[in-house]
Amino acid sequence: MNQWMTEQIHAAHSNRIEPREQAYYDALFEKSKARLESLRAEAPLHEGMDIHAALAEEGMDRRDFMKWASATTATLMLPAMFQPLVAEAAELFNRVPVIWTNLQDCAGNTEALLRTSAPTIDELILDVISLEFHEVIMAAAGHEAEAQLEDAMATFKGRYILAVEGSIPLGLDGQYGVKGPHAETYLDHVRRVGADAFAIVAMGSCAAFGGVPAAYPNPTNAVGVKDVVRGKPIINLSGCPVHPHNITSTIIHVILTGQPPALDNLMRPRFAYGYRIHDNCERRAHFDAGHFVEEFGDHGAKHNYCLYKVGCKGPMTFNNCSIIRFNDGANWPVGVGRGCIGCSEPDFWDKYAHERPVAAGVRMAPFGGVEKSVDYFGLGLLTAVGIGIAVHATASIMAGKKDEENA
Amino acid sequence: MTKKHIIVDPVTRIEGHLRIEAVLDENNVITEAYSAGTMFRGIETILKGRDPRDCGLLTMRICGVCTGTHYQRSIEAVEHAFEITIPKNARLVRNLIQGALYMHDHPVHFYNLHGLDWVDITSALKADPAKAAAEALKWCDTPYNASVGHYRKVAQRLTKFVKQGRLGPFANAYWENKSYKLSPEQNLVAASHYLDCLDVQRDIAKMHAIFGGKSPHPQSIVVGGVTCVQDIINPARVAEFKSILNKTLDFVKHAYIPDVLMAGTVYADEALAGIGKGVGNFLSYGDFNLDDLPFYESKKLFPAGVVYDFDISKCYDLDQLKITEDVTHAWYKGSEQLHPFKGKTEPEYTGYRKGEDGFAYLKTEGKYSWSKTPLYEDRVMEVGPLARMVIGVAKGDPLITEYVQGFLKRGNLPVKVLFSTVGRTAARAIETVMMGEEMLKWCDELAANVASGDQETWTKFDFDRVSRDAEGFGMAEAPRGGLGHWVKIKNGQVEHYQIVVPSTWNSAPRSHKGDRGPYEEALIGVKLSDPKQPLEILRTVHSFDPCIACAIHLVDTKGKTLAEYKVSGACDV
Amino acid sequence: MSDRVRIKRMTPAMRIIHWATVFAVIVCVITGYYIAYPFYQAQISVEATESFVMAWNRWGHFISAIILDVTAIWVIYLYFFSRFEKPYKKLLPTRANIVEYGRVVYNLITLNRKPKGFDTRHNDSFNIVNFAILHLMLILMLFTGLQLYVHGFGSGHSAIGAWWPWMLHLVTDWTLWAFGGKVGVRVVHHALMYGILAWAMLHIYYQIWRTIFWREGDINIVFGGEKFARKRSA
Repeated sequence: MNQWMTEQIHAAHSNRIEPREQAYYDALFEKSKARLESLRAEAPLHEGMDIHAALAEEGMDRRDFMKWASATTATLMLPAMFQPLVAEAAELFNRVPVIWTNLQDCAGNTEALLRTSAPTIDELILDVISLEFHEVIMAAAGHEAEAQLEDAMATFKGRYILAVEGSIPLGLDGQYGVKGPHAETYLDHVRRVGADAFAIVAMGSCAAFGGVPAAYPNPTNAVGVKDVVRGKPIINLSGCPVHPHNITSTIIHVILTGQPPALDNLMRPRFAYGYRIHDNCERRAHFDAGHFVEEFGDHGAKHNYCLYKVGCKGPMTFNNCSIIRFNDGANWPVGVGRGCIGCSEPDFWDKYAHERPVAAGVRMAPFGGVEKSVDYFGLGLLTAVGIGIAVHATASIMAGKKDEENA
Repeated sequence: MTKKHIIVDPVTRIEGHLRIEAVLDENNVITEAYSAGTMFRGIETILKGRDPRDCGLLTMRICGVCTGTHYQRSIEAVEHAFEITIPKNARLVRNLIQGALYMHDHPVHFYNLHGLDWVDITSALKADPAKAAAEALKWCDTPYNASVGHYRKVAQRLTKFVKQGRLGPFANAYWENKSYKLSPEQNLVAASHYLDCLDVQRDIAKMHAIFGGKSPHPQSIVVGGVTCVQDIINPARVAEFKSILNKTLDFVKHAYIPDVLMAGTVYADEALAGIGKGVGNFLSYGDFNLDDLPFYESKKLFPAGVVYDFDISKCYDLDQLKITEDVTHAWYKGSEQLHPFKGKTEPEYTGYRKGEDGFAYLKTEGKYSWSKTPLYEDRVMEVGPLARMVIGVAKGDPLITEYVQGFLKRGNLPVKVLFSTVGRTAARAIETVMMGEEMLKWCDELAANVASGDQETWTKFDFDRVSRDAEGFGMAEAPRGGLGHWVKIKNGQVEHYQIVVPSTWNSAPRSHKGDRGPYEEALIGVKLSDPKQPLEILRTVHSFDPCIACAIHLVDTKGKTLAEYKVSGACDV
Repeated sequence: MSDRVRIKRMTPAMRIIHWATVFAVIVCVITGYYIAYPFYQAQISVEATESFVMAWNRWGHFISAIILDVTAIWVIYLYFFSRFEKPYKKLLPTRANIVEYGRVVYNLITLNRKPKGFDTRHNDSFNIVNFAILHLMLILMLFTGLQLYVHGFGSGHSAIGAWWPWMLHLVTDWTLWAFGGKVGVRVVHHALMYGILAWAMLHIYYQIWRTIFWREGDINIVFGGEKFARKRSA
């Protein structure tokens, strides 16, 4: 199936939120409880790695931990009754092995993972999480790395979470990307490792939608995970790179409920991607007021005006950056006066990532990079109509007023 | 015992996808080595036809580790083409953003990527915390986080971790290999800094984000200047930046440098024997403008230059026209050496050879890598921190010479020690301290300039006029070495784009003359203490800090013609 | 003028719909243009809470859209159940309709030099097909517009209850599928504006041309609701 068709089919899922009754949450609660019990029964991967001891070392007591759990419960859009379960899931985090594989990537999502906000539990959990295979971090290489992967896949068959970073090239029979001593193509690799996974998490926009390599003209025919893997729960955590907070929250949800969180029509968790950046933007007041930055460094730029005219795509982009910002809340792209480039949306390289307003710069791939194609098309149409009218009118006048009476 | 041919794929703890193959003699000494990039995306093809102002964001996604450096190079290439000189505030902020990347990248590389080649985590468990604290004091008067109590805690934490069975990222590694030479106490000191660094680097990344918006992949640089005027004119932001920088410098001076000295001393014999010395030709494009002249006329923190054959008594001026790219052993069509402005290459994939043991081997007699072979005056060159330090010294740059000599004197090491695996690692550390201290000055310069009333951050230009027909290049230094972007612009669109990346210089396959690439050359003569454990290979390759996603790219191929080169069953030859 | 008779062509309701549509389309085009390219800045001396330039433009855009919304429903109703004339009858591809359509086009391209061969006293199928095209464009505009509008209801709630975004999604999510995602929907919404403008140009020209060359006072239909027609000599 070609990529376009797959896109269409995924887009066909409705984005509407079905109202949820208490009964739904009660059922989910029971399900989660049963799941945590079964997890607890499993042999722990990290004997003696008690999260509370680890937290105490970092100066975080039980109270802080419960506060964190309550905030995470809210992030996940679950009712407050789930709070003890979230805390319990965090404690059981080390029961869930993660295999992280890098394909056509830039390691940006790995770097993002390293930068989880301080001073926090998220980082600790990553300390405690069983990261079985991650090329950028692991000590072993070559055959030993391969053996480690095999071992993790066999030991945790059907239980591990597969994190995929990077797109998958289909061109050249997949030979644009190969790995391991057997020179296995990324396509075979992701299908093989994905087959025994509990769930697959596509980290970043490349793994989710093809991202950078899939930008026009997509020289390697790169696609996202959802285009090549079937029959597994897939969660797309898009973003370039994905916000680490969304990684940890998603994994907690999977551990807690044994199922992916509620997803939108692009298979992204609704708790993170349900909101438009624009609607929570600190510069929104200036948008409504009609205060715009006309060019970088002007009066408006110095006064935090809205960046819509210099190409901010916040009005078209769904993500929680405007709420949680980046790097421990240090800043974010709208904060630095550049604006959003829509990095969590499909095809953003061709449609969003430029310095012109949303309406002005749609790159229509089939026409080979003609920008403003809508306005060009429209003005062309109006001109053609105008010329047509002028010709007809002139001809009519020349012909004179004749009709059936004096014909 | 006959010659052994070993494969290391994937090479881990690097950015990107790299394969190393090596041939060992009966003494387990490497006699032949091949380096191959195994992943291809076609970034330059994607750039064609785009608005030149948008290329920076896309080229940045070449790499998430050296994030921001491609971004800035691309923007500089376009500014060079448009003949734009950016305002002082923008220059300083760009220096700070780029400098923050050095400050983040180098320690993370040393501890979290490269460190496990030197440090045996399991040996650290045997260490006596009190002795470890004494050991730390040997290398620094005020060592970082070095109380007996802290070391005890780290040892306990590691013991717990190792005992619980699944080792996660540390599983299946080369622990207890003979080539780990540090004492248990030294291992504990370094291991504790491994954990400290994981913590500190998060703060360092915040520096990147203060002016860049986020890290990785900052977003505040645009053709003409920077956008973060709000953060520049706010003194609190500069102060915040400076405070994190000071913390970082504390870590660098009291953990990173002492640990490099420690490792350097323990491994000094190998370094003096020239293990991993490499090709000996060094190249630096120069970077970090110190005044507000146009980009290539400005005085720079790192001077540009060329040194051949380890001879630091002579330093030649850089001429970008002498750079060519060779594809004799790369999976692209053609065999000519072309300047990046002319480079016309199309993929020609020849696949792997299937060995009798079932593994796939590189066809080393022909094309075997997605990485090209960049040449300067027809010679393979090494780039990176070592090249920058070597050229700084060869050119007599007072600042660099002072830092390099200071380091060598402190460790009582001769200059020769630099030309080795250890030396490459040391050069990186020296550079980090120097960068941090210069950045502090830039912070003050920025604050003073803003306070004097200068709030300019962007130079206006008439895009339609300047983009009619222009060409330019952005050549400067990434943390991993000289990075160049060459761009030709016509009628507001990119007509030709070519990138020559530090890791392409370093990870290059053989040249048309048969000269080995820097990784390949550096591996020659490396002895493996256990041929089943490629620890020494990893150590030498890691000393270059490979970044392979950067290294691989393609020019000028229309997407549709790629189908022509489709090969089936490439592996069955 | 004894050879002419008055003919009623538009009821007051139809004229209200016509002018409401004209008004709403003009407002939508102007405000839509501002939304796409905010071409003037608010007075900087005015505090944000008082200027609301973009907010008012968007408000105008949405209000006009609602007017179009309501009239669209009304028009669809009238297409089938109007007691004055039922336009759908002229849309059916019957032989008579096709012949009439051909003759009107022939009259137009021959610059009214040949006998008309169709009845100018009633709305002809050419006109009705044209109006149907406009109405289809307007309805598509509404679906794409509402899809863009519902993006703001990320939480699934609104001031008037969860049913509203839920219903908007239910009714408009197919546009995401049809046009390949949010950008596609936006492109269609933008491009259709040009379609409607082009249509309006043609429409105005054609009605004026008819008035001048047919000499039956067609232009009055939309004002007074009536036109003349000659008594058939035959």
